[in-house]
Amino acid sequence: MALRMPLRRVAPLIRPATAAARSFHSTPRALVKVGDEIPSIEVLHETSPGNRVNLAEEFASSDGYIVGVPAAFSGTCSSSHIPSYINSPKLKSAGKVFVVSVNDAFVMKAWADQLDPAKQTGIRFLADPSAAFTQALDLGFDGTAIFGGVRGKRYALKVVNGKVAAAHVEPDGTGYKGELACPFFAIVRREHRSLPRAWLRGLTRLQSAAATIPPTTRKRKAAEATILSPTRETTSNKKPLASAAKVEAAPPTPVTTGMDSDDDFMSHGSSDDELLLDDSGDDMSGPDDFDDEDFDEPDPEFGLGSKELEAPRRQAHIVPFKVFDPADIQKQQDDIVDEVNMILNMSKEDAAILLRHFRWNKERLLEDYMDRPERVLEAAGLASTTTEPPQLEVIPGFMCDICCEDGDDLQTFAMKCGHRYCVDCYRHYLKQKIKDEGEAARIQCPSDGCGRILDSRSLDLLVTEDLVDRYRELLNRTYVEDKDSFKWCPAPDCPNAVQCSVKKSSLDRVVPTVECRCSFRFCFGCPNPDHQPAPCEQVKRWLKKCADDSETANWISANTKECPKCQSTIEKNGGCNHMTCRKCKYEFCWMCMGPWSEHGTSWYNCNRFEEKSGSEARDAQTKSRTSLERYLHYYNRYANHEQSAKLDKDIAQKTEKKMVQLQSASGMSWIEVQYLNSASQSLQTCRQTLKWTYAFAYYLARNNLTEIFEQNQKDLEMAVENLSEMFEKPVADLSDAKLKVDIMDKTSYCNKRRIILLEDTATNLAEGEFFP
Amino acid sequence: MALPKRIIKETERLMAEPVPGISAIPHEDNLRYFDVEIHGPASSPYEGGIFKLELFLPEDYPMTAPKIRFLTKIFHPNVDKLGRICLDVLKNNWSPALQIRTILLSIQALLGAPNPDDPLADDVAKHWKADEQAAIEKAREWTRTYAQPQPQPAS
Repeated sequence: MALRMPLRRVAPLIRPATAAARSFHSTPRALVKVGDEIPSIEVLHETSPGNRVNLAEEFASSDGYIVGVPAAFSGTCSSSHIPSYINSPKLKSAGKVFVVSVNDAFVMKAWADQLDPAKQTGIRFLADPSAAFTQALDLGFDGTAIFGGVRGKRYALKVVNGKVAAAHVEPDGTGYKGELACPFFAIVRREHRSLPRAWLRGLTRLQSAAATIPPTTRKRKAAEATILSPTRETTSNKKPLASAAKVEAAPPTPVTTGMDSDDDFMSHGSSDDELLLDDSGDDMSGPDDFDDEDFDEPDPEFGLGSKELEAPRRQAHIVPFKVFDPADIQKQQDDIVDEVNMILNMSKEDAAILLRHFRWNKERLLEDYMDRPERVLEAAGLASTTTEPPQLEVIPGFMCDICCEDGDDLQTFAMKCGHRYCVDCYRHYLKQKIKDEGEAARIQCPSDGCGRILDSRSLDLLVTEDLVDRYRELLNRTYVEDKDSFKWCPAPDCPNAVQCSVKKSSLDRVVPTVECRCSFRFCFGCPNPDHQPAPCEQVKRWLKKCADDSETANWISANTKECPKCQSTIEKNGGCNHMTCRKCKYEFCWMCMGPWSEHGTSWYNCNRFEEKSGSEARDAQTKSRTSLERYLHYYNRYANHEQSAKLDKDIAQKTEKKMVQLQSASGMSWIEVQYLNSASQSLQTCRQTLKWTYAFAYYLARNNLTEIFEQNQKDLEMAVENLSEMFEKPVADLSDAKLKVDIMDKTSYCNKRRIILLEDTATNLAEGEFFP
Repeated sequence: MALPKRIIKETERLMAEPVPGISAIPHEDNLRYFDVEIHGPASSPYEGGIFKLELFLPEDYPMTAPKIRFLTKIFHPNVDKLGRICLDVLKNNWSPALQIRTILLSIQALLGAPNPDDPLADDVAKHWKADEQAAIEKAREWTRTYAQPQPQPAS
């Protein structure tokens, strides 16, 4: 009970804080501006409360930067934000760099010792215990719920001549948006992109350095080698780097005070948001717009040349795409139809038919129509012989050619082509076409050889409402199917379509994974679900290989021989070479396959006789066996992840229940147990990725890139396994605050590792490094 | 079930004004089932042959095409071993405005102009494309062997 009470008290406080963090756009920012002077107040402490620092004085002699963070030791600050500065190649020319946080001097000192133990970076860690400095810059926020008082936002200020020359403040105050927030980091990432070979060399250098290091440290170095590999080449400063790596390699190292865990909750909450956005992320979809907006904010002079600002913002493993629901699709069609209708001055129905005929290629339609309208109309089935609008008519003495009825009150119908049939037959015909054949865009006149296409106004005149609905649905379908840049979401019962402009020809360089609004992730280039990082062609080959019996045959040939008499397949699993076929009781020698009766005394002759051909056979067998084992190695892991993902899905279904139980058991609120949900989501996505990394690895040649890939793969796999284990703990354990923090840490770590792996492979794939 | 007016009219017309070289006679116990005979068109490998077919008008005729197949063995790239016929108007190009009469005429035309580029019987089509003369000779031979008029028992 003692434990529960404070938690319950915290709960309602957290919610408004989170809500505030989410709605950060609606509130105007009242922050420090370019041109403001650095406040001359002696409130900052360095290493001890007695050692006061006045930043205005510090910047009197030199220019530099002030980097503000919400809290020392918090997950984001320690693992990525500050290390990104420490590792930046621009650090040396940056001038004085101060990291400021509303903490006490002791905490800041401990943090500095952890991040920069050798004090080689020159970065100075300052404490702002009273928040006076932060408040003076108007960069404070009310963090009472999490930190117990006022804290500073995440910000970076460039100071020139004692004045703020450029300012960038994280939009949500505390969150860390990687490239957006940190100009240094953006440079590092970009260089990594364009210089994969260069940092590869860096890695090799580091590995050779590792050889001289005692084994215990070497292990840590190895982990670091991949984790910080993107920044490898760009830094020459190895020592602080090692310490930073240590922090990231072992992320769940929370100091287990309530405050700190809550801080993690915040920062992970926001980094999860970021991931979510990234996953669906592209320049076209609405909710991301602010990303672009924010990105444009940092002043070009903020330590960056303007050229560097043009660095690709999008991550290499994400392709731009847009999701459309049925209403959107309808609207888009209507818009194009309206446009053509206005330009060509024809009825909407005819315009729609023409557009369909040209597969919605408006430009080609207009061009062709201007050239020779008659021919276009004829080809699209719009050629007319009479001009009256179609309507139902009673014509005396008429006999329907289809049913041969000829009553005087027979309702008849004909389109502009003049082929007249009774309404019953017409309806019957349309029903047949729409319902049974699923035809819509190209329903022709029932008359043989008449290519006249039924327009939707005629259809409305003739058929019942349910058929009209079906007709529209089918028409929408042809719209999506006609356009190459559109694809239906393959999830069951999902009515949405996705637009993505990845060309077929570039499929060997990109893996266009898109995510529908129904949260189903699939590949735009082929009919399979999400298979990053493996490219489509490989996936096809892999699936075929796995489905083929050829591999079974391969195994058989590697491990078995046939009975010389009855041809049964036999695997020798031990014992001497005297084989007795269980089926036909034939006795033979496993070595020479000759009858055993000839052996006995002449056994050694058998060995000598077979020497040459025997060794050849052995060689062939070994070769086949190695290739098979290689395949089985990758296949087993692939299959294992597939299976685990299935099991995780089951667990995810139980998660909902678990979350409810947890709420009642621990008194946590709904929003507080969401971490379980995000953990489960992350598990499944990571497993999916891992699964395909094995198919990918199977086709990789052995080289340094592969080594890096495998390290990344290993890190992700380890993280996923850890998370999976934590996730399965019973509800009673889950209510432990420590485990919650651990799970959240791990989830965020898994997601990051996944992004790193995908990013790395996608970049190299795009540049043709993997399969030149 | 009463026979639709369309079928009755078509049958009457087939009997009253038969198409030259084609006969279609409904079974007495099932007026939707027809025995069909088509004479091989002149100056084709099938000339002189009389080919028997069966024709059935399904429930929703004329909205769907009649079902029709050869009973007589025939060497033709668009007819398979079971006598099934590859003809567009019998499949997706069927129109309710078409009739038994027009369909049978189409089949007769198909005999006059085999289309090995759109084959149903693969082996026959290959033969046809590889060596047209030999294939035509074989079609003639099959016509002589299988498609000769049965001697009438009365005469």
